[in-house]
Amino acid sequence: MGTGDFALLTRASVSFHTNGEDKDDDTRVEVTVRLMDQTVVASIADEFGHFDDDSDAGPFDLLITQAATRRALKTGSVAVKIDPDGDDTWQFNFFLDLLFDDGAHLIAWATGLEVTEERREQSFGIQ
Amino acid sequence: MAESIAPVPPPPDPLLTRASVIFHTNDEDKDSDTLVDVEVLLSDQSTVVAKLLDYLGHFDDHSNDGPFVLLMVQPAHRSQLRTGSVKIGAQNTGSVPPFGHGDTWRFNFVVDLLFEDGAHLLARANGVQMKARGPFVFQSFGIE
Repeated sequence: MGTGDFALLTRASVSFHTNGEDKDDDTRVEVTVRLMDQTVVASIADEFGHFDDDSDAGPFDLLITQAATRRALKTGSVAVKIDPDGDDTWQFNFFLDLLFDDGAHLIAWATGLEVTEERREQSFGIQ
Repeated sequence: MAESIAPVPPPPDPLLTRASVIFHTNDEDKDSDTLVDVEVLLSDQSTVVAKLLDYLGHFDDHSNDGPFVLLMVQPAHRSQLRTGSVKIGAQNTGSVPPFGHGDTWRFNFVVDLLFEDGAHLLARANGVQMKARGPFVFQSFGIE
């Protein structure tokens, strides 16, 4: 088991709260966790079904594709991207939980987001 | 001569440096005169590590509020807080005797415990409901 900055990522999960504009059931959502050099550490891409107005969804576990330490992920980022079939505006909050093998976390979260067929992606720092 | 073996240093056990809470109110708002109490407790359920006690204003339906930073009351290491808990309370004494008008608040929350090494512990839940009327009502949640 690693400790401190050398603790290894063991689980990455994301939760959503949809606000005043729902997500259509055929809108695909991609969540990608990257290191500072853009190496992909974990990701998920799925339609997840319909997210109704004012509803909670998740947590959804990301597939970890690259071993990463907490030190490396402290300067990483997470991108949330949609691929709608036609038009879709989705307003939401998200919470990304990165759990390490020493039981401590890094997180990324934001509230009041909006993505559309024209502005599909937003990225956030990991804290 | 026997080779000396350096002792293995203990794993780091950083101190809590900040505790904060964010709320998302669902379909029942929090009245402006409902007092909110958030306490981070050690496993003995009596040692308060961090605390927030405030009315915090009105939380409208489907709104996000916070983060609100808790007052640090007692130093605590991460190992101590792994077995700790978060207690959230609400009280509405209002203006109508004997126990005010009462308030039902439905919400999600995240308590973020940040340590000096930049890592976090969390307590969170969705779909919490509190019916505040008269004395404080509390719910407790584990820290993960």
